[in-house]
Amino acid sequence: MNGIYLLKRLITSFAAFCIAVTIMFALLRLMPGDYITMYLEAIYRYAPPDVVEAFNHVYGLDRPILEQYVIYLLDAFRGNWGYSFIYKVPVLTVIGERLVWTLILLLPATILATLAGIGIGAYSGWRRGSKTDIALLNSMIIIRAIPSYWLALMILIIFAYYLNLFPLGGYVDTGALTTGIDPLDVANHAVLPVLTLFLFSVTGTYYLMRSSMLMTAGEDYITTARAKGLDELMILRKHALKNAMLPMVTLITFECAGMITGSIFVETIFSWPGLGMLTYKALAVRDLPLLQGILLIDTLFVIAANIAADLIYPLVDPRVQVGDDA
Amino acid sequence: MTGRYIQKILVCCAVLLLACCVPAAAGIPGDTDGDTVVSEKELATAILDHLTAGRLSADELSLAAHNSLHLPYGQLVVAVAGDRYLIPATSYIDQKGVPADSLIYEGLVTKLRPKEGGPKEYLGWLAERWESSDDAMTWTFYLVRNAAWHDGTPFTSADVRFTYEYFRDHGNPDAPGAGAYLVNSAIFKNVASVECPDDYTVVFHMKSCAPLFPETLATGPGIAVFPAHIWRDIDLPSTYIDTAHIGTGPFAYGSTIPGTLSKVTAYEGYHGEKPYVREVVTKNYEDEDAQILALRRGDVDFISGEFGLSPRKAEALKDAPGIGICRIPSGGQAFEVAFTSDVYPATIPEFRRALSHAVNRERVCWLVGEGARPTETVFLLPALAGDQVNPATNGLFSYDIAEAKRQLARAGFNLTEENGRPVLLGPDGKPVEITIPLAGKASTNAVDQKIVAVLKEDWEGKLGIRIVETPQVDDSVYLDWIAKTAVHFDGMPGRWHEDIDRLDNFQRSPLGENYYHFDNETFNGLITELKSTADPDKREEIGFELQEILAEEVPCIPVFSQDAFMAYRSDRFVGWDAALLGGGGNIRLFSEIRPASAEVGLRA
Amino acid sequence: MIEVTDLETCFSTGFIRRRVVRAVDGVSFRIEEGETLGLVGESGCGKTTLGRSILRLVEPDRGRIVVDGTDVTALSRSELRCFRPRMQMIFQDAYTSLNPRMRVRESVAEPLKIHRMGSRTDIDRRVRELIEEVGLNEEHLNRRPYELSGGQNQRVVLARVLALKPRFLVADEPTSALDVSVQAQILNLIRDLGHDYRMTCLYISHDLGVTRAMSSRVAVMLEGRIVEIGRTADVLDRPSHPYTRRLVDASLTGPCASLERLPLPAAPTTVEVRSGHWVEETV
Repeated sequence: MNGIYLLKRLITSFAAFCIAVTIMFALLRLMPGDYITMYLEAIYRYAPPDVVEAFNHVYGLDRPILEQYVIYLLDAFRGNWGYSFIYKVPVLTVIGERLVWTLILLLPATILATLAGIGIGAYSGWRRGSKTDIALLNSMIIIRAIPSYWLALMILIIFAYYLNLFPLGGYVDTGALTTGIDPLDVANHAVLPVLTLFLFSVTGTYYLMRSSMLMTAGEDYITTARAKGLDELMILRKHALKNAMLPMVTLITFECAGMITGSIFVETIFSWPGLGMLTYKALAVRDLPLLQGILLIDTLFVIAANIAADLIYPLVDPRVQVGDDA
Repeated sequence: MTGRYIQKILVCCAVLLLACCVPAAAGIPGDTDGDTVVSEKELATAILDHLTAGRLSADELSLAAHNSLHLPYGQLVVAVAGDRYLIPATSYIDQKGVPADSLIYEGLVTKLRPKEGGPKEYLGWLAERWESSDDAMTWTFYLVRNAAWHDGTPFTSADVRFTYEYFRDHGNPDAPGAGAYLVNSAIFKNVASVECPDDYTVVFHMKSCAPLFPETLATGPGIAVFPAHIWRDIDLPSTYIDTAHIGTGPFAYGSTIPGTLSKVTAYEGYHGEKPYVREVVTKNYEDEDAQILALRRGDVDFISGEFGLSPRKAEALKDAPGIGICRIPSGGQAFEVAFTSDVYPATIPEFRRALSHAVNRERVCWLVGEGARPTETVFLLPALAGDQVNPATNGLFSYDIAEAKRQLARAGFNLTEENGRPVLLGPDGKPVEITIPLAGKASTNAVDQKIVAVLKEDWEGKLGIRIVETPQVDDSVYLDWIAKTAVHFDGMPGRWHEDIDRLDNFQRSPLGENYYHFDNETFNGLITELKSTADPDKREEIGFELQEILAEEVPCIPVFSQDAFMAYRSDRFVGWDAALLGGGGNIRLFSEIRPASAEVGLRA
Repeated sequence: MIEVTDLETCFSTGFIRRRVVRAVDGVSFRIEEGETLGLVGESGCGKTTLGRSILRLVEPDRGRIVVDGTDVTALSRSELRCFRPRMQMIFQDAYTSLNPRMRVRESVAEPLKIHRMGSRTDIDRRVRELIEEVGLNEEHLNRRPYELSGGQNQRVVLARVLALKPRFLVADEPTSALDVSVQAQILNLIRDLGHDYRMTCLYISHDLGVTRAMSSRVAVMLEGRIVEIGRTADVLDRPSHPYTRRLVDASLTGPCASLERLPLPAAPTTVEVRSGHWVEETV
């Protein structure tokens, strides 16, 4: 790894960021409908043009589009992302609050799903064609085929309602209004959404790991290792697992980047105030500053994940040498 | 810690068990005559019962005593859909200042539902009574004398004047500093000045005749009175975050867990009837199914929402133990088939009139299901508009295909047949084809698709009008679609059908066209006249005339109005239906209902 | 001494219409101690499967394999694992038979470590000896497979095989992926080392020239069966089976269009045309 490569990578990332930001700006303004008209039509039936005009004037939406773009770019880099139309607080504050709750669900769910997906995927691929493999593969296909909204609802109905094991939504009990937020209580509320998210994402990891393992298990060095008289566990651990894990690095980094977009279904069904729901609401009412903020954060995360994947790869796979163009 | 959960689970199980055993409409312990008030005598009997027979537990006795002494008791949990209903409801601030429907703040008056066929009614909040001059240019409000803000500051007419001034001063978008602008400052735009002759009298001088000023203050969106001593120093309402929420309402701000919970508690110094409930917790469930599960399980006592539950889900809840359903007539949306009067063939009044006999309301209602009631009037809904409905215009749009055919023929349309199917030829000799865009408010619960299905049977199958396309369009471009298609659907909330003043919906407004592109000179003139008429009898006369024009010109064909279904725990609280049917909002509802189970006291 | 009797290995393919493919179909032969048997045939005839079946890397369905007096087919899993070091295999592509993540040193030392052949210093010394024996030097020890050439990798593979001092080696076209000049070096190395270590060898190839150079006897395989077997000179110079004849012709005239399919008898019988030279009768 050399400094020049890193510098180059950062410059291209920056360019990608600028392009993404521009596209975003254009797309958001091409979207039909705007916040104030939609709001006013909901309460007055007709949006009084003078009020719409006044609103647009206050938020600078009546200026020439190029001027808006320049202001937007400058503000984006200055960290001044504006106030959300619906929440009336700085965009970064809203996103920050929601991000915490999103991560509380997605961090454990992603970690568990990755570990479990890798574990059972590796086992399934290694024991290809065995009864366990067939059973695992089929159950994964079934889980994958269930519509996520329905799965979330069923989990809620069965575990929370009928079995009465968990709360029906939110992240704290009403008691928290007097006693404050108790981490254990939050954990209790997080179990079902985490389980649902886990089921959503474990299948993807499983598929990739299984097929990667199938490929690796067919390699000659595995046969050689067997011919050398290594026991199966040793072959799996020393030769197969590490090599089969390589494609997972990309998957994992992108799952991490994807985490921050949250999951709208799970957040809605379990009434969890995360980023997914926030994005949906911001989009529904055309809360421009908030949408811009969310999309900016998403872009940053994806770009960061890309760089991270690039930097991690040579560490896990000695064959990959970044920066050597030769 | 785990012990607490096990305990919690056990309690929940016990509740479920109890809920199964107790009959649905449980009474208040100790209330032997069932009037929901425990009199002194009843309390005495209850105490004796408790001491001797042990029939009432100590908790139940405590509930009976609270009821008898009218002391707030227990906790009410309300499910809402969306964090905008929690406190602090920041989204209100730059629109209408302090959140009016938060239980914390009150306005001067609020609106009640009229009795069927009866007059308009209001309920005073901070105003005890009010009157207007004969020309409706001056409104005088006499305020309650014993009200105080939650921090102890007395409430006076200065607060009301401050509220007006605040809106006035924040109505200028060019004011320095973004965020100093209140979107809804237009509410007071008709007010010329406000006078306070004494601490408990406020006089509004209007710029023009304002016969419905109390209505402006009460609804759509309505405003609450600001505490002058706090808001005096707030220059930028758009970015101000209130942490204390000092109001005059029956409940004072308690605490909040952002995005999920907020709590208000009964305010001891309330100027009106004190609530029977000590705490109201608002819990956010984003999903309707989750709300219903929470109600069934007993996590919440009431599901709050503008239009109530969707009819089919309410139907399924009907027989659940411990749950009551209140059906509010026309409390939901009202659906109509609307014409764009400047798009052929809707340009021909006879065509519109003919089709008014070709909408099978009964069948649409049957398809929609529970709670859909066919509209017999030309626009206003009897359940909401009361005596303002012109009885002479009722039942004019009856379903009668033969009549529709006759009228079409008279208007120069020619019904022929082609390949065994009817085809209607217009006066120009070409087949009549229409497109109906699907979107907007009528798409709630897929009502628009049900109406289309019924229209196809009659319009295509019998009248030969081809419905070529029914594209699903995005709400944001719906207006553009309406402008180029002859027929569309609408599903406005009931409040747009509750007053003759709302008939300005059909006036060619100074803002441009209306939703129907309807432009009738007599109608426009009458609306202008109505707006400057204060005399109630004269207004009624104009209103009736307006409805007759609508019956004649048919800019839209009302189809049905949806009843709203509100679900609550009848085993925990009593007194729901009267408050829900009477109107007056959540402040009235939560002040009137009374705890009926000791369990609500235990969880507080 | 290797003795294979009536070996049969099948694969089933297809999910809905299950089809059984007999990759190895009743094969019997012997290889004397220290001798190299060449196995020729076109690709897909079952050569590789036969090689792997003998080492039980693929489980045969039927038949008996005796290696150095031990019935390999009768060994349990754990017994087999202990026996494994005595029979080894080298593959066509040396690069894929080396774990890409391991350095040469680790790859060569691994078998020694698993079978606990000496202390750390012993193993270290032995690794260095081996690497020099195959014509590489110490600096190669710290490299990884992708940093070596194909020939060098094949040398590393040989070193790894030799570390176990196997009695029997299956070489599955070990040079077909290499340049001609490198091929010769590796072939010589295999032959010399095989001689030094007194290894019995099954040399699989589709190249008759290489087979002639490497083996004293040769077997010709067609559709899972051995159709002709005998001394190299006998079989390749005086082929008796029509398939062998075509193979030899093709090798002389250079690569031609694929060989025409021959009708094969359902129940084959073999006849000895001269001493030690057996041929399957044709229809």
